[in-house]
Amino acid sequence: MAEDQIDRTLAEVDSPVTFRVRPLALPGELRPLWRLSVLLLMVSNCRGERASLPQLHVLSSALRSPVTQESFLQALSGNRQPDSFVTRFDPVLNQTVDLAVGEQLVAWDRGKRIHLLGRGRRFVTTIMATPDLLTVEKQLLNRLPNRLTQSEVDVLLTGLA
Amino acid sequence: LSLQLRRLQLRVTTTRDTFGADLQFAQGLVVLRADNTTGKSTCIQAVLYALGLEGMLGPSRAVPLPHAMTTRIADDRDGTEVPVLQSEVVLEVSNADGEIMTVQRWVKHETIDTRLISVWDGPVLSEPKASFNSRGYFARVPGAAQREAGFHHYLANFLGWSLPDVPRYDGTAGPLYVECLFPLFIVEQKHGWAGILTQMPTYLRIREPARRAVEFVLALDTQKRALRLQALEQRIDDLRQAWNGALDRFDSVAAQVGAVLQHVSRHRVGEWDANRPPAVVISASDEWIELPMAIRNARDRLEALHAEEIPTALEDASSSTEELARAEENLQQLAIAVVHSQQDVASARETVVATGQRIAALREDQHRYQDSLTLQKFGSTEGLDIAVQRCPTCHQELSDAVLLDVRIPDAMSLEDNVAFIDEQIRTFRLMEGDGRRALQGKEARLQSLLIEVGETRRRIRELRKTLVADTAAVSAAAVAERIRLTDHVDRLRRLELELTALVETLRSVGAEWADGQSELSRLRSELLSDRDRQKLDQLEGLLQEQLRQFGFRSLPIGEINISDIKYTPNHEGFDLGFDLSASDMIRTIWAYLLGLLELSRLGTMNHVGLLILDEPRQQETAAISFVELLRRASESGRFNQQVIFATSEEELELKQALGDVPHVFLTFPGKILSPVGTEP
Repeated sequence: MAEDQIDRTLAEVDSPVTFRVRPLALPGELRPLWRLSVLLLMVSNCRGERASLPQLHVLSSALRSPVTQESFLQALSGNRQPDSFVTRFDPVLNQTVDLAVGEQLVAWDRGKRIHLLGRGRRFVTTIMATPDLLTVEKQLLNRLPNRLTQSEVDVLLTGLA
Repeated sequence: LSLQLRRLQLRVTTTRDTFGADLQFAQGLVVLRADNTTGKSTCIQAVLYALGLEGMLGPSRAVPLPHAMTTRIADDRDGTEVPVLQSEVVLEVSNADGEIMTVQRWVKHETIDTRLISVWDGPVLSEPKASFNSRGYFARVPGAAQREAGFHHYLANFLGWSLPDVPRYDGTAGPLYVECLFPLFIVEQKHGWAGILTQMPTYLRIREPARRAVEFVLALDTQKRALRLQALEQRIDDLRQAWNGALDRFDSVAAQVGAVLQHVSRHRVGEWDANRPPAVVISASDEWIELPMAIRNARDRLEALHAEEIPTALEDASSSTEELARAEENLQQLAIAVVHSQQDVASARETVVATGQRIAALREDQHRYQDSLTLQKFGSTEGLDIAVQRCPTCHQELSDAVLLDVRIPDAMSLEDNVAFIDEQIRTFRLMEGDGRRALQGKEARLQSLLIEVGETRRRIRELRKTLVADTAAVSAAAVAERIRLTDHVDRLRRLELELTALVETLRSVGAEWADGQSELSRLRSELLSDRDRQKLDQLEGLLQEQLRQFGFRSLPIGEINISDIKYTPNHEGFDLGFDLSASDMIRTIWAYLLGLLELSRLGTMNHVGLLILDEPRQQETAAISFVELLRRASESGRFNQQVIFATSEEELELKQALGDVPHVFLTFPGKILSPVGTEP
């Protein structure tokens, strides 16, 4: 609607017009607790329950959709298509890590990797024991050949497979 | 209804001696005390085994008894281990009518199949000198629940149970197996204490076995309704297929003449507007005309032609030349129209695909939100600040929009956002339906254009033939035109007949659908009868009362309810589990199972009036006192019920605690399985 049109419409309305800010809908993946839970699942699936930021970014990109999951698994098994799996560095992930550290679910290891704390591990156990919860995410993590290592991630990121 | 254990006998024949145990039970509370690892649990497992109930513990075919019964037994006199040659279990039980039967089953035998259970119609153990009739039955074989020769068929009759058919995973109905019922009466040490009804066997392909078992034991009216519901859902599905099948068949006929059916939808089975019954429209150049009108037009043209005499080629020459020119021009225009129409179809198809993708994405989001709702509960149990929208570091309020890179004033609550997504999905589904309808119309239009192109080409050929033919001959073009028109009228009239038949089919399918739907919504809204509700309320009362008595502390007791859907204890709609301490989980299992037993005193139900609890391993229960439980369980004696409690508590403490509580005390100083000399 053009501006003058709005003005005209408002002029026709007899009673005073008030505007109220309504709460906004968010994509489900931006809900902090959801992201936090997925982060914990990812860390628990890395070797030694320890993960570096690049490792998490790779996993997180893979989890975005069924399509990215497939191409991630393909890339991991060495059958990478030239135009397929791309790692997207997602700023939200870094913020999620900050929140997780604040909640004392994970802690930094000399600033290089994060690892699960007891509280985080307990939360992961609860999630794993609950059927119908985060099923898509659990499925992908289950399909990883082994616990993901830093060197596998380096290969994915540098494309030197 | 009742099942009471009277006597249990174990016999193990070895190369050296015969070992054995003889237990005599009584009505009311029976405390079976023995130190750990002396064979207390063996006795409980032997009861399960004698009744052919090991399927309760899982699909394995292995004998659920320890080494001492199957391979080697330690002789406490000199500490040596002696090989087991053969071993058996004998159990004497009675039912509500006072009938007694004795069952015997081999645990190990060189020649006899261990699936055979021998049954005597009298107290063989209490009166060893008397003689009784006996018969063999089979357990753990397919059909053991239904066939005459099946032990569980016999057991159900002995107990006075008529076992209902219940819904299975494959959509059929099958018998509720005895293995699904005994987890309500016997709690086994290894598997029974992890959670409520965790012993329930799931491999039997019965849908929601725990729910069906509780329904049966409490004789809830809803059981029959559940079965009817499943049959009804199946029927509704069949009707939907009949509806869509009829539409598909009609569409394939209609497509041949470029016609489209209107005013009925695949998504809305059984619905149409009484003022606008299903009708057919046909694409004719730029407009859609209704079938009766199309038939009339074609017939008028045919009659007009018939009224004239068929011209000769010469007579037809000049008009044929003109018509040829018109037809050729028409063909060019049609070719353009076809291209446009093809583009139209492609873009409509794209819209449908895009809408489908949008719906899929929304579904993904919906999943994430369902996850978030569950996680929020876990998070607040775990005391996470994020779960209550507080910053974990500075503890100030933190909006759920924190991860968004632009600042917005506020995010919707989880619940609102779920509703928002649901609404969007609904909208897009409507759009998808509409898109499909439009696509179908556009495809029909394209089809009719293609038919017209074919006919125009044929007409051009006929006209050319007429122009080069013998001038005195009958005009081929005029004859072909008459034939084509006759054929067209025939097809349209066939379609009209098909439409009448279709409307007939839709009417009858629709009527049955409407009946089914109204019964379905009635059944769904009142699965529980008033009587059922009353029983569940009473069960909830008994549960809460006992939790208080037993010192349950994990959650406010008033918030522990019996679920209307699963009939098991829950908290705010969630199963009890991770939020209970291990000892409170045990208290809840006691309170629930004892509650079922106590409730069955209040009316005719299918509980057998028996509860056997094999105490959980010591380390899990260090802090729990059994005294209140035993006190309450001893009430069972007054109602012809039996509670058997196997424990390793210190004898002296136990006796002091029990005090004047009526009970029978069975105690074993050493190993329960001990030498009994050589059997006669």
